[in-house]
Parts: sequence; C-alpha cells; structure tokens
Amino acid sequence: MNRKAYALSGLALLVVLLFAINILADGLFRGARIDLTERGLYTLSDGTRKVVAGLDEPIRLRLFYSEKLATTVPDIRVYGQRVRDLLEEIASVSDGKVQLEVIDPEPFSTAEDLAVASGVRGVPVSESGDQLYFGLVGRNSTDDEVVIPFFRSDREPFLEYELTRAIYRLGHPARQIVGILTALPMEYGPGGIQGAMQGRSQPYALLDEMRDFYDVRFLDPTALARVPDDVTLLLVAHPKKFSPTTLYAIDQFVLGGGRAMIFVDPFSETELGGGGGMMPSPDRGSDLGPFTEPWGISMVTDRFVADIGSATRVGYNNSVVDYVAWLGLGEQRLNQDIPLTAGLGTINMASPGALERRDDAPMEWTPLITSSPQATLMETERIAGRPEPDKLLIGYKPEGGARVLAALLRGEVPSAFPDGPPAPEPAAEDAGPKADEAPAEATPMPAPLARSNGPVNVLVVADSDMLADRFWVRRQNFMGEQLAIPTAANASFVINALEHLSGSDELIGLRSRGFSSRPFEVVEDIRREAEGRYREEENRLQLRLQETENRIAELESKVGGTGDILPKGQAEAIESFRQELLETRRALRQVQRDLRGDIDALETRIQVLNIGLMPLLVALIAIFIGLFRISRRHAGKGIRHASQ
Amino acid sequence: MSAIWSIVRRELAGYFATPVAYVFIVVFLLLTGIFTFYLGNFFQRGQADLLAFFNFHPWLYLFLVPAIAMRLWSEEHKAGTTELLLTLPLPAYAAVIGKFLAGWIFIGIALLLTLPIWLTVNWLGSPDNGVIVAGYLGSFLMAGGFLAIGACFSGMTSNQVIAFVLSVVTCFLFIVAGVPIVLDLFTGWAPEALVSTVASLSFVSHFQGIVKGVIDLRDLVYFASMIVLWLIANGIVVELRKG
Amino acid sequence: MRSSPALIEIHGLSKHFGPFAAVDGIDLTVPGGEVLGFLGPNGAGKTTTMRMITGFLAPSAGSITIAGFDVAAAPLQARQVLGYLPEGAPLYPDMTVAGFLGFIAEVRRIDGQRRRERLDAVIDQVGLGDVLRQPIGTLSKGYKRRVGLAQAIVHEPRVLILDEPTDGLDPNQKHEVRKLIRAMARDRAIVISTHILEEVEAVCSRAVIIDRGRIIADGTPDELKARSGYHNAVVLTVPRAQAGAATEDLKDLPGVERVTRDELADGYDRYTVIPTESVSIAGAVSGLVRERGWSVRELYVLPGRLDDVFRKLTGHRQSGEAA
Repeated sequence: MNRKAYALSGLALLVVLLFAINILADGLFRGARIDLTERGLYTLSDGTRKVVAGLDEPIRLRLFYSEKLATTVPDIRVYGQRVRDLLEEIASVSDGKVQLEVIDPEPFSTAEDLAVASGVRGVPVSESGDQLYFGLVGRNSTDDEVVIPFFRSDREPFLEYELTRAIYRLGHPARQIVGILTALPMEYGPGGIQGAMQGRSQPYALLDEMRDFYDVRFLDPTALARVPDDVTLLLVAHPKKFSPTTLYAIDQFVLGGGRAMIFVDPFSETELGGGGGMMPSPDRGSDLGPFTEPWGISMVTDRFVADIGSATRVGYNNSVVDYVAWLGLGEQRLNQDIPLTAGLGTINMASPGALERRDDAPMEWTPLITSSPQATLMETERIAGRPEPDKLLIGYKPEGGARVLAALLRGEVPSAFPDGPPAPEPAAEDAGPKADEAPAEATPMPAPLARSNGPVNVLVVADSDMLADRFWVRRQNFMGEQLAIPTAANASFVINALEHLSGSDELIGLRSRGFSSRPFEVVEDIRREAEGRYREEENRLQLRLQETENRIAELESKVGGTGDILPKGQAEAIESFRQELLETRRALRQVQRDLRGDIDALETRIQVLNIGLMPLLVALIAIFIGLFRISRRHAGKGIRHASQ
Repeated sequence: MSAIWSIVRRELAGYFATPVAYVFIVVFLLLTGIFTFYLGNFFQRGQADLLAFFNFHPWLYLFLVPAIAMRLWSEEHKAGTTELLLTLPLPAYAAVIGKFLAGWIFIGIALLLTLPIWLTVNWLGSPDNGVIVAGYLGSFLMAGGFLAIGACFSGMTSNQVIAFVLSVVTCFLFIVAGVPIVLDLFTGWAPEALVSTVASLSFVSHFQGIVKGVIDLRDLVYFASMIVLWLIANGIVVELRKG
Repeated sequence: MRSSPALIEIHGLSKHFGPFAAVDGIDLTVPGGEVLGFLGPNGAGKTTTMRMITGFLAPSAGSITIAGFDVAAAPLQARQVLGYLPEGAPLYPDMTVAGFLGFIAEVRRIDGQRRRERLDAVIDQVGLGDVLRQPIGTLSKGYKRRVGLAQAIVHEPRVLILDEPTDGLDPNQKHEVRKLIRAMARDRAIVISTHILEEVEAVCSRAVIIDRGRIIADGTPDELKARSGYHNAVVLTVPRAQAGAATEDLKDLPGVERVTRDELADGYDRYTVIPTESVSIAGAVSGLVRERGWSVRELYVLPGRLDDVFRKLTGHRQSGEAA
C-alpha cells in the first residue's frame, strides 16, 4: 500500500518536473542555439550587429504579440517565438541601446487600444472575434516612429532584414535624397499619368522599398538644368530622349562626386507605348549616350543578351518553355566577392544588353552581374512583336561567352561636355515648371567642371525592366491590404547598390540573405538539354508538316474545281503526301511527349531506387542471415530431442 | 556502464534474431519513401531539401516506434524473464536504459538506411546539408521521445497490444498537443499558463524548430527531459508491477 | 561484513500484499553444504520468500543476508554470489543457448579465458553441447530446464536458489537434475522449493515446511518423517489360514494404537500395526510371531511417511481454503 502510494506520487512528481523543466528552460535558454544552416539564417548577421552598434541614441521597440491567443494558432505561435527570440537577441547585443517591451494586447484592454492606435493590425482568430495582434512599433528619442503592422510567417526569410531596417531607420532619421530621372512610368505605373488621373495609379513597388531608406524625388528628364544640391544619389532609368541639359546636369553631378546608378536598356519592355500604349514604339532602346566616349564604357545597341543558361520558364502555347530573353540570374551569375551582390539570391532581367569596356577606358570596372557562358546576342527585332519563345530557340548557338550585364565603375573621367553647357531647349519650357526645380532656377549656375575631382562612382545596369514590378514582385491582398511579396531580389539589388554608393555598408551583409531556392540542378540541366534537342526536331518536323500541307494544297488546286478524276500519278502523289503528313504529325506528337520523357524517366528511376533499393537490400540480408542461422542450427541437430 | 552495454547488445541481438526487425526496417523505409515522393511531392516541389522527407516523421513514428517499444518489457513480463533480468547483478537503471538505448539504436539504424534520399538530393542539386544534419538529429531525438513513452507503457503490462495502443494514444496526444482542438479542451477551465505550457510540450513544434536547421537548447532540453522522465516513469512502473 | 559459515541468514522476514501477509515472520539460517528443501502447499509463500532472497521483491519487514551481504543494502554484491532459477525457468526464447549463456556470463562479469572455461564447464555439466546454436524457444522442456540451471551456476555461486527445479520433467529428467544438485551441494547453500516430497528425500539434507507464510516444521527429512503417525509402524504379511484372529492378537500388544488389515489376492493378509506415539513395537510384534509360529512372508518397520507429515501439518487447507 505504502509503496504503491510512494510510486504514484513519484509519477505525479515526474509530470510536475516535465512542466517545470521546460518552463524553466524556456526562460533561461533563450537564444542559446547552434545554427546549422549554411548561411547562418538564424544567427544575427554582422550587418545587424553593426547597425545596432552604430546607434547613437537609444530606441524603444514594442512588440505587440497576443501570445495567449496565439497558442491556438500553431503557425503564428512558432513564428511568434522566432520573432521574439530574434528581438531579444538584438536587444541583448545592443548594450542597452535597444529596449524591448513585449506586450500582450488582451481583448478590451488598454494595451489593445495602444496597439490599434500605434498602427498594429489585429487579425480575428476565434469565433468570438478576438483580435490577434502581432506587430512592432519602434520609436527613437526624437519620436520618429516605424511600424510593422503584422509579421507574416511567409516573410520569415526577411525577418531579420525587416527588423534591422526598422532599427536602422530609427537610428538614422536624417535621410538621403535620391533623385530619379527616368523615361519609365515609375511614378504612376503602367497606366502613366493618364492612368493616375483615372485613379489607377500604381507606382513601382521599388519606390516603397527605396522610401524605407531614402527620400525619393522625381526630377524632370526633359528640362533639368542642374541636380538640386540636396540630392546625393541619382537613379537614372532608361535615359531615352533626355534633353541635352539634363544629360549635362547628370555629367556635372557625377563629376562633382555625386553617386549615380544608371539603367540603360537595348530594348525596354516596360516603357510606355508611343501612342496610347497599344502601338509599341519602334525604337525602345536607350544607351549611355554622351558618356560612352569619355568613360570608355558602352552597351551594344539593338542587340540583347539571350541566355539559354539563365532562361526563365514561361507558359507558352499550353506548354512551358525556356524564354531566353528573360533571365533569372542566380548566385553563380552574381559577383560573390563583394557584399553588394554576394548571396543576394536571384535577379530577374528582361532582354538586357551587353556592357563592354574599352581597353584604355579611364573607368575601372567590377562586373556585378554576368550572363552564363552559353549566352549569345540577338537582334532586338526578334522580340519586338509578340514574343515567341520557341522561335528564339531555333538555331540558338552560344557565342561570345559570358556577358557583363551590370558593373560598378570607378575612375577619374573628363566631362562629356568639354564645350560647356548646351543651349537650353525651348521645348523644355512647355513642360511647365516643376516645383522640384524651383530652387535650381533661383540659384546661379556654378562654373562647369571639365574633369572630375577625384574618382567617381557609377553603377551601370544594362536593363531597365528589372525595376518593373512584374519582374520581381507579386502583389497579394492580405486582410484588405496590398502586400508585396518579392519573387526575386531585384529591389534588394537596387537598395544594396544605393547603399553601396552612399558609402554605408551596414545593411549590406544583411540583405544578402533569403530567397534560398535550391532547385534540382540535374533535372534542370536534363530538361534544358532535352528541350534543346527536341525543339530542333520539333521545328524540323513542323517545317516538313507545313511543306507537305502546301504541296497537297498545291496539287489539289491544280486539279481542283474541275471535278475530274485525278490522273493516277497525281492521286498517288497526294496519297503519299497524306501518308507523310500523318507520319509527321505522329512524329511531332511523339516529340512533344518525349520532351518530358527524360525527366519522367529520371524521376521514376530515382523514385524506384529510393523507395525500393534499401528495403530490397535489407530483405536480402535478412534472408541470407536467416539461411545462415538455420544451416548452423542444423549442424548440431542430431541430438536435438535427446532428452525426450 | 558495461552492464548497460551488455543489455543493449542482448536486446539488439533479440531484435535481429527474428524477422520482425527486418520487416520493421523494410516497412519503415518503404513508408518514408512513399510519403516523401507521393504525399510530400518531392519532385513537384523541385527543391533540393528534405522537408518532404522529415515532415512525415512524427506521423510515421506515431505507429512504428510504439511497435518497437511494445516488446521491450511486455515480452519479458509475459515470458517471466523479468525475474531473471532483475535478479542479475545489475543496477536497477541498467535494464531500463539498456533496453531504451537498444531500441533507439535500432531506430537509428533504420534512419541511417534512409541515406539514399540524402545522396539523392545532393546529386540532384546543392542542398543545405547543415539543415539536413539538423533534420536527422531532430528526427532521432523525437524518435527517442516516442520510444521512452512506448517503453514506459510496455513496462506496465505483459500484453503487447495494450502497450502498443496506450503508447500510440499518448504519443498522439503529444503530437497534437499544439493543435487547437486539443487546446480547446483546456481553454475553458485551465489557467492560460497551463494551456500555453501544454502547447509547448508538443513534439511537432520542437521537431520543426530543429528541422529548420537550428539546434535550440530549449528543444534539446525538451527532448532530453521527455526521454529521461519517461524512463524514470518506466523504472517506477516496472518496480510497481513486481508487487 | 562478518564471515559466517551461514551463507543465508533470514531474520523476521515478512511480505504483505495489501492486507494479505504472504510471508509472515520467517527466520532461517542455511550454512554451506546444506541442501534445503522448501516445502509447502501452493500459496504458502515459498516463491515469495525466494523472490525476496534473490532481491527481486523488497521485503515489507526483516532482513536477508547472503554470504555476508545484506540484500537491501548491497544488492549487487549479494546477487553476484547468488544463482537463481526462477519458477518455470523463464528464458529468452529468441536467443540461442550459446548466446544466452554468453550474455549471462557477460553480465556476471566473467571475462576472457575464464568465461570460456566456465561456459565449457557448465555446458558439459548440464549436457547442452548438442543444442548450443539452437534458439531456446525450439528446445524441449528438459533442455530448457537445463539451460536455466546452467545460467544459475555459470558463475559458481555460493548460494543457489532453485524454484521447483524439476517441475514438469519426466522421471528420467528429474533424476538427472537431482543428480546435478547433489553434485553441486558440497560447499554451497542450496535452497530448493518443491511440493514433490520424494524429491526432498532424494536430495535434501534439511527440509522446511512453510504454511501461511510461517515455518511450521524444520529438520532433516528423517526427523520430519519421525513426526509421521506411521513412524515405527510394523508391516506384517502372513497366510490368512494361519492367522485368522491376528488383528485381535496384535491389538492386544502393549503400545499398539490400531491395526489395519489388507486381504491380498494370494491368500495372504497384510497387517499394518501402528504404535501409540511412535514407540518401538517391532520387538513385541516379532515376539508374537514367534509365539504363534506364523510363517511370515514379510516383516518390516516403517520409517514414517513425509506426505503423511505434510498432510498432518498443513491439512487445514484440505477444506478448500486457498490463497
């Protein structure tokens, strides 16, 4: 009796211990962990540490997290723990500069009111309509505020980035100004200004990303005389039909030590059409224009880099094919030696151009993005109309090796306008004065610079389409709010580049994470190789099909209309053509089937090997051992039942 | 220590003395393969990682580990060999730990035999092998937790079927501890702290933490405490059963 | 630790299962060289006592010392000097004989050369050479019992506890096992539980009868037999024709309690003369025979019967009480 009671109370004690140990561990061991991921996804990066260390004034972070409500939502519970852990770790390395406060806004509490007032968004989770809050409000000593309304678990790869960005913004309330000069509809979206007036304004999502760090100001590319003094960074996108004065302004800005990022494009897929957007303008390219000569850097015009090795897959004619004009440039194509592009992920580009450097160019260059060695140059005409991805594959032949698609330039250069400022164009006046440029008009023009004062820094990208939303971001409606879910690292690249140019490296290490897509390279290779092979075959057959059909039509038209019986020879000829037609069609279908055949076969093989091989081996070993045992047993069987 | 290893060797030899062990391994391998490729959509995902593989481990273990654990003690109780085993000059804990370790090693062997899938992803692409190592470790730890539960129930009864059913039910509860339906049972009357603690005792949330590639000390403490405490319970139960 | 010729010392040993006292205050001392037969009806507490001696069960009260080691305080040392064959000789059916004995030797820390020697010795001793590679589960009952004995003696224990070692064996097998026990008895303390009385006579140097958890008789088998009503009874067979009224004559002898008569088929009658309180009546009976001139076919004195003693001491149970 006594013993039993003793044992039962022992068991009860174990249950208590189980709870106690785990509650205790939860409190004691936060942040004690080993990160086995290749890129240390769960370890604070140097970037974060630097940002935190660089804080001059303390900042306060308030995490509104409905922990109790979240216990019923496993997804949020797990992510909540992660967010909390990360914030606590940031606070712990901050030397007290980051103060973290975790608040559980219970329903109908003042904490809930505070959360709502701060801009944190609630999500209803229970039948009673209780709101779950999971957001962050940061505040610095000068009452600047940064709000993350809701942490979504599918944004986990960017969690550290977003938190550090928030801290960075609080720590650096004074912001640099990026001036934008562009012929692209960046400000109002694909609808242009007309669309904006009809309420269909959809500015590039990139701008939102940029505004997290910078003030963004659009400058007028048709009438700019001078880049305003407070603009420290210049983003030039698709410099097409810029006025000479604008180009001069850019020239003087760069020579004066201003940092510029220039996006040129042999073929812009995103510029607004000439007349209402329906008719594409015949000339959709831009280049480095007057800067080509003095910098020694040029972009091949009218030809774009087609790259089978980086081609993205697009749906076309009910199948999925490689579109060699649209490139997905992964880690192997990005310069891994400098933080700007290291570990960035994938950058998407559309019909980029090839950058070239003259041997005696004054600009040193560091290629940032390159194509694969299987690239070639193609006439932009081939994609000017309706794109036909399969046609581009016909006769595709790698040529010229890997092409440079983006590069950092640095060097002392002369002015592109050795003769001083060009005469202002009268047309510029018609555009109407812009508020932005009012100060420029008021101050007198400074003396023209003929050479740079020391080395200049410029980043050139041979594609402007990469800025457009459709090449890097997916918009999603979440609880009535538009959310931008990046599908490629284009924006990170631009931010990294601006950051790099502005001389602050702090955030760079941080942004080089995420997007860790790890495709089955072998399958991709096989697919590509097979596709190349079968496309050719398919095209050959298609041609023959066409030819045969034409010949039949021709023969029939010769005798057609008369109603006469065909001469015997001709009838036979048509019959044989018909036969050939059927044959070709059958072959064509076969080719289309075979296209996936190799991959299917590979997958089946892998599947069979993985599911079947080991069990089979184990079974064989078992049988072998069993037989061995039996034979051994029988060796001494003679007197087995001697005792009976 | 040497006593424990004697027990471990005997138990392991016991596993492999009959075809049951081989049948178990074959079933385990077949199921992991089928789950990974058909339910986990390994190829459709097109990612060189083993998430499709590891995600099903809690559910695989739910039935397979109790099947291994059920014979640990029940068989001895039934054959009466408990009396033999427990009167050998061994410390009381040696038999409990030895039996557990043998089962754990056995599961470890089964897990090691899934190596082809790891080779496969490495051949197909370039996976984050750190994450995969963490996944295997997490899976092994979780199996240990399941096994300790199963061993405890096996110690309770000489009927293997009863031991199996009880362990499956208990393991199931520990899997779904974080699921709303289970938590709703508590939310009405229990204090919030208890509810969140029950939720944090779920196998799955700790397992998933490790599978992501992070070995968090708290997850390790969780699995270690599960294993140790259930084994202590195992010792108490066996002692109680002697009368 | 004190060194004592007594290898097993039990003082005031009790075991309660709930309100039921399975063992109720047993004191027992077994010196080396003694084979102790543990007798008692089913449920008398034999197995429980043995389980406590081997340390499998913890006593509710009392102490047990094995070769100087207290079972509660130094369980591992006590078990090391002890060999145990549990009731029914449970074994691992999946293991081979060699594997099983190897495992026991390993756990008992018999290593290297000595392990080989000891294994060879016990295998030889109990005759297991032919079945070494067979799984125990496939063996006959006799072989299994031998394996059980082998595991109990592989480490040459000074104390051997055998719970019903011959239960379920055929007469030949029983004989072999008994021979084995006798051979091992020399300097060991051996405790055998059994309810087969002939076994006690065959192998035991001492017998203890236990009932309802208490020792109710303790002595050599002869001493116990002396407590039988048949002790010193005289059996006499004479021709029926000669001794028509022999019953009356025998009854009149001094010291005779009663006389029974069996008519044998061949014209003889067998008389069993039972004395009062076991006094010797052989002389008186033979005197009567001489006096009457009966042609006696057989005449002998009974030593007493153990089962009679057993029944006499534990007979209260026959009315159906069971535990």
